[in-house]
Amino acid sequence: MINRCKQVQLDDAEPGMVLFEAVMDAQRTVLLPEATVLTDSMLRSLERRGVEYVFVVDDDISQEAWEAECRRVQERLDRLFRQSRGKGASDTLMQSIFEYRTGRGT
Amino acid sequence: MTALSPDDIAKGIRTLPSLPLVVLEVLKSFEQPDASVGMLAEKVSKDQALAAKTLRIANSSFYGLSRKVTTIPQAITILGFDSVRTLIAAAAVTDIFSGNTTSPFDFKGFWRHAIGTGLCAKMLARQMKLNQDYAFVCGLLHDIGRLVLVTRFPEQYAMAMKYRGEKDCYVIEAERAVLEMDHASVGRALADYWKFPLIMQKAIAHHHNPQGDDLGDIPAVVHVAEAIAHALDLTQDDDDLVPVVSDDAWKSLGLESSTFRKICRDTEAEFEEACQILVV
Repeated sequence: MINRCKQVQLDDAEPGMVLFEAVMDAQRTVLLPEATVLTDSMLRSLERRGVEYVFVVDDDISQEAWEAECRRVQERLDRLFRQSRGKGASDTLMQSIFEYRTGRGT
Repeated sequence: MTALSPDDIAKGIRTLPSLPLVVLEVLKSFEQPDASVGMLAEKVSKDQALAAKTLRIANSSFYGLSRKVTTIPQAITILGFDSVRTLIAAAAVTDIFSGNTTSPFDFKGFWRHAIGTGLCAKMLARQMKLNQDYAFVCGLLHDIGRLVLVTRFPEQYAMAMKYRGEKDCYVIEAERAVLEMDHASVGRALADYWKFPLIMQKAIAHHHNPQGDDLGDIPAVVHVAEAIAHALDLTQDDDDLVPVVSDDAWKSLGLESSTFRKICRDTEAEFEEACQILVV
């Protein structure tokens, strides 16, 4: 499994990391929007608010391996959705699962 | 002749053990805000086999309790009424249909899919501020009609599954072609016979085609949860098929992409452990 979206504990998060996903509190109020480049003061603020982990963009993965993984995921989804493509909201579901598995598309 | 009539189904259902009365009361309590916790706890405690199984699950590592719970009221104090009544319902129904080991039907795969759907329904319900434990139970039991078919009409059902394999079609299409009957209507008949509460009846009967008043409620949640469970490949069946997702049902849940990812993550995180404790 190679995913551009990586979960990191707040203790392991570093300034310069880019948020893959907005950070929200328990009431789902956005504390920091997606694509924010984390700074020291942001990390301290998240810690004060009790945030335990964040989702960041993983830049360490090789582009080649990631592309191969995206193809593998898409092939499996093509098989699973072979009878439901183009019907109802099935394509939306397939795309959402693809994005969840690979971190591509958002 | 492999076709089954509504009469055959009704006869088959009548040969099933009846659902313990206390389990029905537990299920109904999900739709009764004033249900008496104390009285239900007392009744469940009197059904020793059910109480023992419920406590065994409550004490499994899934709940990570620091000390053992030994009575139903104690389990309710520690885990909450919602969780315990979910456990009671799951324990009772899985018991009635616990698998026949000589059958070629994949009971384990069946329950893994049921648990995946239940968990995903729970996560969706949590986001939508619906009762998440009730959603779990509805998701867990959505395909219960298949269990009636496979345990009461094993030869006919084996033919339907053979047809499914040959045509690579949906289970429900194979059932309709071979049995002239499908598991959603059989599930509806069983839910009616066991007098399941209304929302649960709808979740079982409509899980392939949610109706207008199901939208934004648990039956639509179960419909979408089932599709997500297939799409997440939880049962890892190479020939699995994701059912068509109703556009109206999908829209009625108002899922944003970050919420969707959270639901998938939480479902996958709890899946294996839930299977270990619930699949006997």
